[in-house]
Amino acid sequence: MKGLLIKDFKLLKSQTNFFITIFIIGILLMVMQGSPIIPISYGTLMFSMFTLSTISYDEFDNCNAFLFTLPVTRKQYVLEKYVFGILVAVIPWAVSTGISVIYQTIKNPGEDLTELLISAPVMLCFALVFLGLTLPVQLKFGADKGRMAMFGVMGVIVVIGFVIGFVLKSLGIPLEEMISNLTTMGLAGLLGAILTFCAVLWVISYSVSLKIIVKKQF
Amino acid sequence: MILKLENVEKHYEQFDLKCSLEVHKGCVTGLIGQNGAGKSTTFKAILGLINTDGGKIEVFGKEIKSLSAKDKEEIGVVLSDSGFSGYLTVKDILPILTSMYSAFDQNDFLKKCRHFSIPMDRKIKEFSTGMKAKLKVLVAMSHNAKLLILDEPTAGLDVIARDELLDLMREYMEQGDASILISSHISSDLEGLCDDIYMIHDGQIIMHEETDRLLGDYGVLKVTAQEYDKLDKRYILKRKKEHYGYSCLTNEKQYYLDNYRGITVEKGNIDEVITMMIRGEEK
Repeated sequence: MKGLLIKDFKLLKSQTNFFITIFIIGILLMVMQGSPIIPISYGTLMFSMFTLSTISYDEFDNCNAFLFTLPVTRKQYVLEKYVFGILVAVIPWAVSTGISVIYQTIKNPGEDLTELLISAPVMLCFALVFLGLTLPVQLKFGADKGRMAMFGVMGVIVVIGFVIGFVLKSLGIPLEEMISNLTTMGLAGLLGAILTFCAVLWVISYSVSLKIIVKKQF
Repeated sequence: MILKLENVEKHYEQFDLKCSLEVHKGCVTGLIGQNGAGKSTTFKAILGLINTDGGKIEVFGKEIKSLSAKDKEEIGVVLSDSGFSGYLTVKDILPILTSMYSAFDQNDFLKKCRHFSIPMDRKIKEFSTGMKAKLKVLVAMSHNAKLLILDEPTAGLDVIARDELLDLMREYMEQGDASILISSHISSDLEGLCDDIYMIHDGQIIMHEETDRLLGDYGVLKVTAQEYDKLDKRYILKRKKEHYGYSCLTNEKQYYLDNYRGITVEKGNIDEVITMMIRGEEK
């Protein structure tokens, strides 16, 4: 798996200029808008999306076939994509959060950082949820069809959300009250709930991806 | 036995593969056939890249599905239509190979890259066809694999580049007890390299023979219709109608030379044999 990780980081390195541009845009947006959350959300999502790009690189020119002749198993390939996904989400997230905290501290000395420190992990979770949903789709359908399939997946999620809301309402269970109850859980409780949700989603996502790759023929 | 395929089947909508072959320790085995004959499908089946519909494949005496990552370190592969991402450089693939193969010989690999003028810092997608082909073969040979599986390693190369690669393979075989399974649609590549050759057509192995016997004992008789009628047909494998009578493929050229004075017997070569096997009719 280490070899595959090196490969993906080398591919990331080959796009250095693109990521430097993203970094600069994130900083500029933060300064211009005066919003320290922008580089965290923007940076984390853009970097984590590169995991999907590595799948496109692997598919380009049928490279996948050769990759699976190397001493790696299909399970290791899938696991590597998830590990790489976490690394390229968490590292830029930590760096951008650090920059945002420094910016906020310099710009508004003494200001409470609680809001920023609550928003930052939520942004990380958002990126991880995004990856958890998109990785199996990308592995199944590839780069081009994957985009179309992703719209379908999002549509299905919206419909499921709508149906759940409708069913709860029909059963007389107040959804708004449930959501407001979440905020009473406190910061630690809320983060715990979000992290648990992410972890469950990733376990399901990984299992689905593994089944897709095991069945795939090259 | 290093590699064994026993009645391996793969069915597609318009193509069926049914193939058995063996690669022995210390031998170079060739697989030759036209484009679309089933060479790449056979290689993909051996490498576990496609699921088969029947039969058995064993590498190093193990079912391919039970090969561990460590076992796969003993296999070097060249695929005709696949390789490392074109967005990587040779410098990029060095740490990848180092971490994947415990026997990767970086110094020797770099020495050979320099010898073949392969650029270190340029992206692989910018390489010429020849450079890409040489890099694929060098990578396959870089980690002291016991089995090289080379699918069309010389495709698209000029004569000089082909010769250089074939020399590399000969050198590799001289080093120890490695084995090679190589496919090509260029028969001359295989004639000078392989110990035995399988011919594949429409997904079926239509012939297996030792190269020495193929080149030494096989021949094509060129006879008139009257001469054909008088021929002992025990050693005639195939015949083909010609404007002068018949051309006949035999695996006992000397028998006809000794017993039928005056008939024309041409020395066999792989091209001639495969053409007769595919286009010829039963005697």
